[in-house]
Amino acid sequence: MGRNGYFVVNKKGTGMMTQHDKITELSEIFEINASEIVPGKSLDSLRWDSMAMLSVIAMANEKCGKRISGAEIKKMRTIQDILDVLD
Amino acid sequence: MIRAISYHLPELCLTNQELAQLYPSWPADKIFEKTGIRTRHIAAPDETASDLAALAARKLFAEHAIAPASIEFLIFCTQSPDYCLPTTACALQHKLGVPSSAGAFDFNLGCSGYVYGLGIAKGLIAGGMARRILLLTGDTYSKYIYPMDQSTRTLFGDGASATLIEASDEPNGIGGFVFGTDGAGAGNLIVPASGARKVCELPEQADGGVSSACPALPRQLYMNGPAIFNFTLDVVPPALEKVLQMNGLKMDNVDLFVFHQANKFMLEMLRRKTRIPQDKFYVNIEDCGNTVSSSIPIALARAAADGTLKRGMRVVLVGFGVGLSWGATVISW
Repeated sequence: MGRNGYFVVNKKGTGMMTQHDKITELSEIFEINASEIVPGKSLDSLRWDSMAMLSVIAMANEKCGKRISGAEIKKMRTIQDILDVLD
Repeated sequence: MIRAISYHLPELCLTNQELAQLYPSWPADKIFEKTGIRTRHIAAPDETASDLAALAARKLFAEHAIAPASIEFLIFCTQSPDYCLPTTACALQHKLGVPSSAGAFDFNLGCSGYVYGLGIAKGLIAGGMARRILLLTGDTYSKYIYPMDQSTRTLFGDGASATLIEASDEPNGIGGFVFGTDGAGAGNLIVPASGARKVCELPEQADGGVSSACPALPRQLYMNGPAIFNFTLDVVPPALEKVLQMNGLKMDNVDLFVFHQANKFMLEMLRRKTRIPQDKFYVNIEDCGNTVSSSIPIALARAAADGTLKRGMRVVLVGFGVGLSWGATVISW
C-alpha cells in the first residue's frame, strides 16, 4: 500500500535483473536448459509463439519495469534482442 | 441495484484435447497451464447470441420468479447481432414477452460491455425513464474465429447472461463509474470486414504486425495479442485506483474483485501488479473460457452460487478489451 492507503501503480518495476536472472527467466519461458540460452540463438529455433511473446512482455514489465511494445516484440530475432531490452 | 443474474452456455464443448490435435506445438496440459481453460462452450451453427441471451433471460425469470411483463427496458450488449438491422433487442422483446411499452436497444461492446450496461441502467433509473431493466449480454465469437488461430480459439467461448437491475432506495447499490476509451487501438482486436467499411487497415506498421498466430481473413477475428496485453497492463491498474478513490474506498474495504475473465495468464499478471490478495480475486473460466461481455456476470453468478459472494459484500468490477474500451464500478451485492 502506498500514499493515502491506495496501492501504488507500479510503473518502475522492481529493479535490475542480473544476467543470471535473465537467463533463468528465459529458460523457463522457452522450457529449455539455461545452458541453451545463448545470445546468438535464433528465436525461430525456439517456440516463439504468442504465448512466449506475452511471457517476455510480462517478465520485462514485472522484473525490470520495461514496457515492450507489440511492434518491438515482433521485430526480435535472437535471444540477444530480448536481453538488450531487459538492460 | 442488481436484483439477480442468470446465465446460459451452449451445449457443444470444445476441449483442449481437440485443440491440441490441431496445434501440435501446444499440448492440452500446456493450454490449460497458460490459459486456465480446459473447455469452452460453442454455439451450434444455427444458434445465435440472441438465442443464448433469450435462454439466459428465461432462466432469470424462472430462477428468480420475475415476470417478463414487469420489465420496463431491455438492453442487449452484443457484437454478434442477428442482423445489422433491426436491433436484436427488438426481436428479444417479442420473444421474451417483454411489454411493447418497454424501450429496447443493442449496444456494441465486448469485454467492457457489462460495466457499461450497468452504467446505462443506472442512468435510465436515475433519469426516471425506467425502474426495472433487463440487461442481456451475449456473444458467439466462435463464429468469427479462424479454426487454426490458436491464440484466439483457445481463449474465447460463447455464452450469454441476464441481469435484472431495479430502482432501489439503497444508496450503495451500484456506485460510481470509471470509463475509458482508446480508439487508436481499434485495429488490435477486430473483425475487419464486418461492417460498412468492409476492409480496414490492420495496424501492421504501427503496432507490430499480423495476428499472433496466423493471417486473419477479412471476416475473421484478428487479435494482436501483445498489443492487447500491453493495453491491459497500461489501463487496468490506474482504472482500479481511480474507481476506488471515486467511491471513497481502499483496497481493504473491498470484499471481492471480479475482473473481465480474459484468461488466467493475464488475470494473474493483473492481480500481482495491483496487489490484490488471491482470496479476494475471483477467477472461474476453466469450463467456459473468455465469454467477452458475459464473463463478469457469469463470474458473479458463479461466485454467488459457490458461496464466495455473499449478500452485503462490496465488489469491484473491471471490464477491458475490444474497442479498445474499459470500465470499472463498485457494486453492493
